[in-house]
Amino acid sequence: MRQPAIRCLIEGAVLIGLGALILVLIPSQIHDIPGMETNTSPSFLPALLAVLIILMGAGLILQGFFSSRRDGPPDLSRVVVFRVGLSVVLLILYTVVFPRLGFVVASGVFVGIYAYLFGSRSILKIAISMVAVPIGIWLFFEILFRIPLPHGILY
Amino acid sequence: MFEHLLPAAQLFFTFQNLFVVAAGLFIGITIGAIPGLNVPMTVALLLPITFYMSPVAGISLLLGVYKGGTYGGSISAILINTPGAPAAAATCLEGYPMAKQGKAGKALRAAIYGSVIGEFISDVVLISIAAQIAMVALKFGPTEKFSLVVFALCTIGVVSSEHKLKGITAALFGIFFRTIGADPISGSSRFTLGIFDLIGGIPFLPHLIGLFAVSEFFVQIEKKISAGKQDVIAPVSKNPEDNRVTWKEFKANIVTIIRSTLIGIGVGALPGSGSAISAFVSYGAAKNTSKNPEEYGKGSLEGVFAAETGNNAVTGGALIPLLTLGIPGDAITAIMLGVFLVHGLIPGPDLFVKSGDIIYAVFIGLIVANILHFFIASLGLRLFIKLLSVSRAVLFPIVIIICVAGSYTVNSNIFDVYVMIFFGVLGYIMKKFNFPVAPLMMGYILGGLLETSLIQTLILSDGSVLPVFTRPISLVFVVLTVFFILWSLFIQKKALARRRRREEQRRRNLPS
Repeated sequence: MRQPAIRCLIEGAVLIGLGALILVLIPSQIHDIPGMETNTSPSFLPALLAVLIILMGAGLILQGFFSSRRDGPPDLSRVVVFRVGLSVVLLILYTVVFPRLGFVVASGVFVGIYAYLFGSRSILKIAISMVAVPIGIWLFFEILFRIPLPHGILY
Repeated sequence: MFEHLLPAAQLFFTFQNLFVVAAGLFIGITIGAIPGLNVPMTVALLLPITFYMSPVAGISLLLGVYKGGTYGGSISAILINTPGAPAAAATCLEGYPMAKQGKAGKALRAAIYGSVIGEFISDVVLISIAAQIAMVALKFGPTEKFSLVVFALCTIGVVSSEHKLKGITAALFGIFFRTIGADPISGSSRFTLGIFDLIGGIPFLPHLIGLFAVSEFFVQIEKKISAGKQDVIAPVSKNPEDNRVTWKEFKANIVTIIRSTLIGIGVGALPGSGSAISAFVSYGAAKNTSKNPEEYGKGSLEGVFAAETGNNAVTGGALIPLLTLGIPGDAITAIMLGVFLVHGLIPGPDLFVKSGDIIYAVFIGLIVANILHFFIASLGLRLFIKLLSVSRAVLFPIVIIICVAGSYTVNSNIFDVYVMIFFGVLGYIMKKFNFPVAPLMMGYILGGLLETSLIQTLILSDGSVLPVFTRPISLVFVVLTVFFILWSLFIQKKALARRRRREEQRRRNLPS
């Protein structure tokens, strides 16, 4: 007998888990209106979606057993996880910082950090980006379109 | 109609009108290409200016922005996999892989040709048979709308990935994300997890920017640049064939262009739908009828033609219900309604009789805008391609800062930036595990219409879903949905068999 595709089995199981999670969350997260028909109540569509997601998960598991198709594992090497993880953390940090510091100053600092992370080692290029990018975006949004950006304590 | 043409031409052909159309196109293309700035917002910003213009100039300015903006979204979609507008999301699927192969020039030119031809035909249809189309569109009740949405979602779910189940699952999650917030019927809150900002639902633009642009940012940051390695966004081919659409290629895509135009006009004429639906339905139809479906997802020129023609053909179609019935087809035409009303033009059947010369002057403006669109977009092409030569280390930090600014400025709310990051991470994980992101976005866009039309259908039929199968227009969409799914499975099976045969042949030809 052919070996089942492990990746399909895992993905299918995760989908079933997510569908079940939606079903579990429905009673606490949706307050149905008394007297409303079941099929017009606020929980009708989410419940239907959860069931369909579970069915899709089951379909993926079946596909894992019967399909000849085999996808390789995704690239989750330590370097990839570190680089992506670091950039997510930096992005969250930037989001926390820019309303407090001000868009122009915070963006300048983060443009520099990201340029370095992307491999730029030219100090001149990084410095120009750090100054030109935030000022350019500020001019475009605030001056041209009069859409305010947070000024924070430094601007 | 003909009695209005001469006075209309005299009314339109002034320096001021020609200038405002060109200015509108330029503004539209620029705004469309920048994620975070959208066409409805720009039209709303320009609206007060139009009050001081003549009705023809004011309407022409906004139509220029509308047309330019619908096309402009494709520029960033092709070059950096970031749709400037939701309508350009389908263009990403083929345009970006083409840019990665050094064929950005070809993809951008295809986008210009598709957009201009789609607009032109749809404008001609608007001018000649607007009223008849509007009457058919009026027959669309909730049941028909529900079937249309199911058809659109199944199409995109099935065609956007080789993994059909994953595509449909992504669409289901998209609908689920739309259910977060207040229920459209009862107003009861759903899945808000006690977060006040979620009561109004997940904001659209941060969701879109996160799913496409931020997830791509994470994909790009995976790659470490070695010292001395050229790290441009994508190579630009020196071969002139890769930077233009040959006559042979254009001829091979004429059927796709015409089919996508008809889809665009039809979808545009339906109030409440929009160019994103049209682009995806056109893309799905092109893939399912393609002679080379295996090229899709890897940079298919046909796919770019289909998506771009489909989304721009909506511009003429969306004006049909606005002008003939006074019902706006989408958000932009809804804002435009204001210009008509301010100038004392009441959209409806009487409009053509009472203000025929003004309306036909606007129609002439539409045709002139198409010609100008072609030249302005072609002139900007070289400049856009230059963007690819910029270092990744310079461009992607700029892109992420624009994404943050774009998400923040929608509601001046920092919560929207967190939503963008969440969907960026989700999009990245989906890409890692071969779940297509486009159906998720489509599910989100269409989820609201799907839910309201489903519940209205159920209320009207005492809880029965039978009308979906008994009403003729609805039945047509149901049959088309089943046909699309079966047909795409058949096509995929054929492509798989062809690939296996080729591999076997290659193995046989290898010296043992």
